[in-house]
Amino acid sequence: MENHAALGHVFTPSAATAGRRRRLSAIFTAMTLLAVTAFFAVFCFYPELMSMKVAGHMSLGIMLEPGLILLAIMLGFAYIRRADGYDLESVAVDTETQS
Amino acid sequence: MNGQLLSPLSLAFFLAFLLVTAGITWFASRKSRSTSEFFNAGGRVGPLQNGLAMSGEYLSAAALLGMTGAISLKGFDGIVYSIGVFAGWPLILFLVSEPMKRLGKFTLADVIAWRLDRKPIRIAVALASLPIVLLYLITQLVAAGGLIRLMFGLSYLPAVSFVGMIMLCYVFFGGMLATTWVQIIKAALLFSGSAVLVFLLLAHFGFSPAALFAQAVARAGPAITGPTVLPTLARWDTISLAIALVFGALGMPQILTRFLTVAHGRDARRSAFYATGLVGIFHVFVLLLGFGALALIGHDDILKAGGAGNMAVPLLARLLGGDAFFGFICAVSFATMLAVVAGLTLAAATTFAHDIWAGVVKSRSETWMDTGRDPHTQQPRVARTAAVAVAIAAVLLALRFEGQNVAFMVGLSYSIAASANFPVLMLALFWKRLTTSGAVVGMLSGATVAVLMIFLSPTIQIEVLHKGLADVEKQWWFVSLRNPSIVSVPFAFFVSWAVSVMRPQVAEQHGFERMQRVLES
Repeated sequence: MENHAALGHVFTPSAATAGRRRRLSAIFTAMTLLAVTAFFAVFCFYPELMSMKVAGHMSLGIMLEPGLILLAIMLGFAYIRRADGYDLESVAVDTETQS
Repeated sequence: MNGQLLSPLSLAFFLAFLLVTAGITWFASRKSRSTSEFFNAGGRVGPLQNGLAMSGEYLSAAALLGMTGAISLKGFDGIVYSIGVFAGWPLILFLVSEPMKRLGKFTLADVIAWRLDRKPIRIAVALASLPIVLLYLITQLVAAGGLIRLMFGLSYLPAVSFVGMIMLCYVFFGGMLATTWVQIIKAALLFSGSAVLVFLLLAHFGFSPAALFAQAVARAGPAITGPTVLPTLARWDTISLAIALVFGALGMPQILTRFLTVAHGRDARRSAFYATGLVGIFHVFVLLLGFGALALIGHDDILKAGGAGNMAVPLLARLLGGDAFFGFICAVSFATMLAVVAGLTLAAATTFAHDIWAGVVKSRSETWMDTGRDPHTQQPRVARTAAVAVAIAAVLLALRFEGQNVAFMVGLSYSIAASANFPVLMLALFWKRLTTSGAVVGMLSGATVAVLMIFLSPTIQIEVLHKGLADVEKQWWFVSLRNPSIVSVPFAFFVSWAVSVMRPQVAEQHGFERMQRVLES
């Protein structure tokens, strides 16, 4: 089965796969929340750290904004890759069980 | 400044947008005959298209003009909003994109009510969601009226009425399909316009962001690139604002219902990822444009242009791209407002037709979810009627609020979404012991506490009711925090938990296991 067709296939995943998907969602959520909490904690309680110059007139705070956005996009990409992988594994197990 | 920015090119670009979207609406009206076609475009929207439409739903004129203006006037302090609202997007991807698609049909209430008693949940979700959408809609219309006056020289009444009429046409005739394509076109125009402006800006500085920031610092001082040291109360207020912005996105009905327009869970994940990427890139543009406007135009000239910094981007466009590009950016800003208000009107009309009319007023003991077919084929007609009522109410309220500071309404909208919808949605999806009573009481108490705290805060008491600080701060009821979410979000979680634990429902817990099987299938 082609990957694309497999991902649209209706199947029943094993308990192990379902558990891994829940953990995946929880881990990525925790990483995002950690990064955002750290940003706002520094912004509110250690503003001098964000004012620190890192390159010319660009402060750490200014570098952090695109940094956080890039991190979120990378996490998102990793997440959909893993989730697609779990779907494919479930299809493989399902096909094996049915045959 | 009124009317001075009127340009035939702006009008030409804007008329072209209207013509294209009118054509799409006509095409969509021929396609949107069934209930499913009207409410979720038949579930046939592709992931990239939906990602664009979702980002279009979120990227209002406030994002392009307001956030850039805030950065150009306040420097780094203006970035807080940007990070707060962006951070909600990856969480939407990880937590709600798939469950929304797998459990929902037309609205957010379908998901929350999946394993609970549907009637009370639908009423509670509608009571929370309609104010969220209406407050946001009124804010957009008031801002649209003001900006059209600034850009095109139209007076407030015809400007607001015109926007109201166009948004109604999109929703009334084209439903979700037309609204989706209007969002896609608007998002594409917004991204391409912003990207060209960023390119011109960076080219001006020899493609060196360091040179751009150096000029901004030379013009406004070194403090502009760092945060202001906040007093203790303002620190907690900022954290409270961050909670509202981050978690509010996960409770916004007009964004969440977009997951229902794709074919399956995988497409829902992908559309959330595309939207995250697009919104993220847009926020980097906003950062550069804000500091670019500060560097090239200067704080005082941006303020003089009026609109509390909203003219920073159009002025920068005129400086770097001439009158033609300025006209294009003005037309894009107007198109942005139109698309956002159309999405909001559709969300409000769908909530009324599907949750209140079909789910409560006309509901039977056995609903379409049990039988597998929808007996309420009149829902699109009811939604169209509701859209007319919503449009009239929103325009009348926008006229009533002319010239007033309505910025608090966006905060209120995000606070209600974070305090009412977000906690209960999370508990419904991830906590087995949530009961119908827990969900209803949690949702309503979260919304009530958020509204009450904002009403008793300086935002309303001082800025809207114009009372003296000295008079109100001595009152026992006065709430010093401007943003309630640091209290109202945990409160809603606590109330839902306490009520559910006090009166456990075994049948609803079994429903959770069934729901998990659907989510994992």
